[in-house]
Amino acid sequence: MSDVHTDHSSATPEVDGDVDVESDVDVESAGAADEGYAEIAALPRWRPWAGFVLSLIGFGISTYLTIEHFQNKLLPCPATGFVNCQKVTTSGYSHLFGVPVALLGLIFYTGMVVINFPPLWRARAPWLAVARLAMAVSGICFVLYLLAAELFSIKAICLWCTGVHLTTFILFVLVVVSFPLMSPRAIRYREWVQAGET
Amino acid sequence: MSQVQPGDRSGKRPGPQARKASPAKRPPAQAQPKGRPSSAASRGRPPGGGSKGGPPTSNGSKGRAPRQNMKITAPPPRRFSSSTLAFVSIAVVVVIVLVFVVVKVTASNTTASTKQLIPNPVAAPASLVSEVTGVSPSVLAAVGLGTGISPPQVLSGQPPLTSGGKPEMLYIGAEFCPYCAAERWSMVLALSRFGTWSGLETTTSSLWDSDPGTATFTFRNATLASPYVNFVTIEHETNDNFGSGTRKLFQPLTTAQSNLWAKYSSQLGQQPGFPFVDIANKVFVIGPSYDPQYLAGLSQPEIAAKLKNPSDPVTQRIVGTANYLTAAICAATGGQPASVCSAPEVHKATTALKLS
Repeated sequence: MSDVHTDHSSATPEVDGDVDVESDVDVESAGAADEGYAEIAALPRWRPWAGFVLSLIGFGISTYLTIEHFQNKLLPCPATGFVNCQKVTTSGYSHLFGVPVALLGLIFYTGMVVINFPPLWRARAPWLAVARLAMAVSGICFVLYLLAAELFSIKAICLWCTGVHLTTFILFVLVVVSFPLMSPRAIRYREWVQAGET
Repeated sequence: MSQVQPGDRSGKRPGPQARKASPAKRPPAQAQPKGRPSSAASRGRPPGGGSKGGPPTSNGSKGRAPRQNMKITAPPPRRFSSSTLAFVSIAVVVVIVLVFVVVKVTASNTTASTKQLIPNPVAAPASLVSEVTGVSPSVLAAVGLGTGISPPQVLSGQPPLTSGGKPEMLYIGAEFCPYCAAERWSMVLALSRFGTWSGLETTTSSLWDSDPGTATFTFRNATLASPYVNFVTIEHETNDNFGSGTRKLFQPLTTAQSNLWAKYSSQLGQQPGFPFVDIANKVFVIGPSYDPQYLAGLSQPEIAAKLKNPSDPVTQRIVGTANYLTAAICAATGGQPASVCSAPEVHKATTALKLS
């Protein structure tokens, strides 16, 4: 009996009445002491902001690439061999079903900026976390497709595109790592925790 | 990973932060035997009945506010496997990228070690050059505007493109490019009426692009000595000398040339591509003037020999395109030389392009 948690007084303190998804707690170090619970207990405060900033960076580069595409301008980018933005942005892979890839990137990052707005990270609506995850996964899948096209078909890479790809990858990591803390299951768990405290 | 069980007080105590973070948030749970929690809990489901779990309520339904003094009858979930999935998915992405890079690097090394599959350009025989540049006036006139040709495009009101005190004709092409291969035949012929060629070399287009191996010249070392027009050539990329896609950037563009390429391609509704010919900012060739398939399977001497027959489909296209280019250059040079610009086929092309 001493090994189970039956002491109400020790179970309830230290938690606000409103269980917030966000916390400044170092989740990973806490989790080392109590596996499984720490990771669903709190989301580090910096993650929503990191997600938002990354989305803004991706949005900025995508906007630039889209403007340059429609103005038919050559990107300021080395054109000395394997790094060749012009070759990439004028290749057949610069359009998908007739839509410029740069525009697709802009549309994607417009959505990411919205869904990564920090208050939306803290929102309890489970579908937001699922939608964010779905967007991040679809984004990284498209990045892999474009990377394969650059490496094996176009045989050149575009530094501006690579900037977007890196941003998308980091955002993917951030969203995927954070998802367990924000999934519908995690939210139900918190509500259950809160219920137990009341 | 620690194997500390929920409520396990026999293990090491978490630090203050850890206590704040997690164990204190757990609700009270009913006593259970020491060891693993119940199966539902171990699968990470909050208790409450349904497979998806939910806050426990008196009737077991999920989503409703708990009643006061409710008794929670199971320990909290043990762990969430989604964190493992998260790291696995990241690892998958990283592995895919690494595989891409390794395959690319390996393929590049393999390609670099293979022998050259398309030989370097060689100096064009004088007989070949003279055959192409010496097409008889009767053939030129008989072909006129030719057939199966996309005429060059005219833009008015542009600042004239000049260099060296003469109108400039800028060519941006690539040695792999089949459309450039076709266009060069007409350019060699048209420009020969305004000057004297030197440094022409023969080659073919890429063997791994459309219209593979189209026989042609290259302008990589070519110059045109002309008192009327300054011909500027850029072979911007090489051929696929070592296999598919092994083309490389070759002759660089100046910023001004890049801007012209981008500006006028855009104004004419195109992306910058090969070939691009800017004749004094008045007349432009963007893309193919005729289909290179008409040159398929023909060598340079065979093509040159056909230029004697005005009704041959190859002659119709090469000479017809050359007549358009001649008319465009005449528009840039102010009708000089008169002996060329007053020729009937040139007059016809000038009228067709509305350059007069």
